[in-house]
Amino acid sequence: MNAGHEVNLALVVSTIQPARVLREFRIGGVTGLIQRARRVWHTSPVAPSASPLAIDAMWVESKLWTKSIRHWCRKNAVRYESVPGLNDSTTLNAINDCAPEVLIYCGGGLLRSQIIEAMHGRIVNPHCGPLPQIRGMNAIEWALLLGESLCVSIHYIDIGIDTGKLIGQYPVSVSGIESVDALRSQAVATGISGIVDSLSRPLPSVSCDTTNHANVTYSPTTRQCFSLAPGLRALLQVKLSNGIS
Amino acid sequence: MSQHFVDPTYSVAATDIGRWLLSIQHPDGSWPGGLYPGKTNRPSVFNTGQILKGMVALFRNTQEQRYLDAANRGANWLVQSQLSSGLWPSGDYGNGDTPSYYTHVAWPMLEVWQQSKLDSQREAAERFLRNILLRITSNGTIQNWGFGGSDTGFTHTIAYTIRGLQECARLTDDYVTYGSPVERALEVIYRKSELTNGRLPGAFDSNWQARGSYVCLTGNAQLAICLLLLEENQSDLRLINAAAKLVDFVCATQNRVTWTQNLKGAVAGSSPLWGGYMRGRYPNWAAKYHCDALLMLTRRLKVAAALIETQKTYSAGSERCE
Repeated sequence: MNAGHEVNLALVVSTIQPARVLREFRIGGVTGLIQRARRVWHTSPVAPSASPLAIDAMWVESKLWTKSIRHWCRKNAVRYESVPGLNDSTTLNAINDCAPEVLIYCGGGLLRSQIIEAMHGRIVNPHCGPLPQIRGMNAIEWALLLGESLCVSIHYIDIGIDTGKLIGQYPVSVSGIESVDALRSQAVATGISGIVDSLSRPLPSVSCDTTNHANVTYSPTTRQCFSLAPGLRALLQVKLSNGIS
Repeated sequence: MSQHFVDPTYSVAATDIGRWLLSIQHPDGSWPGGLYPGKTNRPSVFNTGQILKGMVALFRNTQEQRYLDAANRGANWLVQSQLSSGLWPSGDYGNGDTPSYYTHVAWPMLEVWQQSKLDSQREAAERFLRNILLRITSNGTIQNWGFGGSDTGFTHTIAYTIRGLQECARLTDDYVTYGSPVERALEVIYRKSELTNGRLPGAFDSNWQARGSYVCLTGNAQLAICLLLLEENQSDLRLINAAAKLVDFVCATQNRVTWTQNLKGAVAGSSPLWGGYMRGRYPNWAAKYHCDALLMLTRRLKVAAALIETQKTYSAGSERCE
C-alpha cells in the first residue's frame, strides 16, 4: 500500500461548516438537511471486521484503518484542513502553502479552474469506470448496465467531467460479486490499488487545461452518467444476482 | 389502462366520456373551450385538438365509425380555421401568436389523417409545424412555448411542444425534420432532471434559467414521457434513468393516504401545493400524464430487464481495457 510518497496535506470538505450547511439548506431546505444528517450518521466510521466487501478487506489487510482522516493526520504529522468546499479560498491557500507535487482527488464535488491551475493540472482521480466511454457518477454500475468493459481509469482532472488525460486503467474483477454494494466496493478497492500503482512510477506529463469541455460536441455516446435511480439499481441487482460469468 | 390492468372499468369510463363529448360537439366540428356548459361555448382550437386524440383512440378500440366521423369533422374544422400562414387565429387559450405548444394540435390532426388519409389534414398540420421549426433557437428552447405565447414556459407546455413534434415525427415517419430538432432541448432536460434528482424546476425561460422553486408535477410526468420517446430512438438506459427520477418525484408527492376520498390518488399541479402551476389544485390531466408516464416507464424497464438478461456476459475487462 505504501507507494513511497510523502503525504503532506489532507483537504477534507466538512459537513458541518456553516457555509456548507447554508448551501445545503438553499438546495434542499430543512428536509435536505435532515437527509444529509442521516447519511452522515449512518456512515460514521466503524472498524471493518469480517466484511465481504473488498474495501473493508483492504482496510483489514493494510492495517491502515483509522477512525477518521483527522486522527490519521494527527498520528502521522500531516497537515489537516477542513474546508467548506473544494473550491473555497481556504483550499487554494492550503495548496499554495504546501505546494504538493500531486493531489489525489477522493470526491467532494467538481473542481474549478483555479484549483486545477494552482496544481498545474496534476490532480489525479481514480474514476470507477472505463474512460472515455462512461463519464460521471456510478460509473462501474453504468459500465455493467451498458455492457462496457469493467475497469477503473486513473486520470488527470481537467475542467470537464472525466475528460482529463488517462494515466492507466485497471480491470475490476467481478468474480463472486452478487450485489451492487459489493461491485462498488470492488471498484473502489481497485481504484486505490490503481492509484498506488500509478504513483509507483513517474507520472506522465500533463498540460494545465482549463478549456471549457462543456462544449464537447453533442453526441449520445458521450452522455454523462448520473446516480442510478432505484428502478435502474434494481435492474442491476437482478443482473448481479443472476451471476456474471 | 383497461388492457394493462385487464379491467373493463376504464374502458367503460372512456366510452361514457366519449359519448358525452360526441353530444357536445359543435355542428362545425369544433369543441368548446373552458368549462362546459360555459357562458359562450366558444370553439377552441386547442381543446378540439386534444379531444381528437380521444376520438381516434375510441375508434381504434371500439371500431365504432361515429368516433372517426367526429374526429374527421373536428380535424376538418381545424384545417378550415387555419390561417394561410399555418397558424390559428389568436385568442384561443390566451392572447398573442399561436403558442408553440399547439404542436399538440398538429399531432392529433396527423392521428386523424392516419385513419382518414385526407391529405388536407396532413398538409395543414405540417404547415403549422413549419412555423414552429423556425422558432427553435440555438440553445434548444422554442420561442412562444409558454402560455400566451411567452418564451418562458411551465414544463407542462414545454413538454407539450416537444412531444407534439416527437409524435408528428412518428406519424409522418420523418424524424430528421420533426424529431431531431428537439434533441438539444431534451439533452438539457436530461441533465437538469439528473442534476436535480427529479426535482425539476416548474418553469424555464429562454436561457434555460429556472423560474420559480416549485415543481410542475404534470410537467415532470410529461417530460419523462418525452425522454422515454427519445430513448426509443436512441436506446440509452441513461435516458430511462432520468425519466425514472422525474416519475419517482411525482410518485412521492401523489396523494395516496387521505381522509378525503376525492383526493386519493390525485396529483397536484405543483409541489409544493402552492407552487406556480395550478396553485392549490389537483388537475385531472396531472393524474392522466402520471398514469401515462408510469405505464410507459414500466414497459421500458421490462424491456430493459429482458435485454440485460440476454446481454452477452463478460468478465473483468483486462483484455478490453486499453
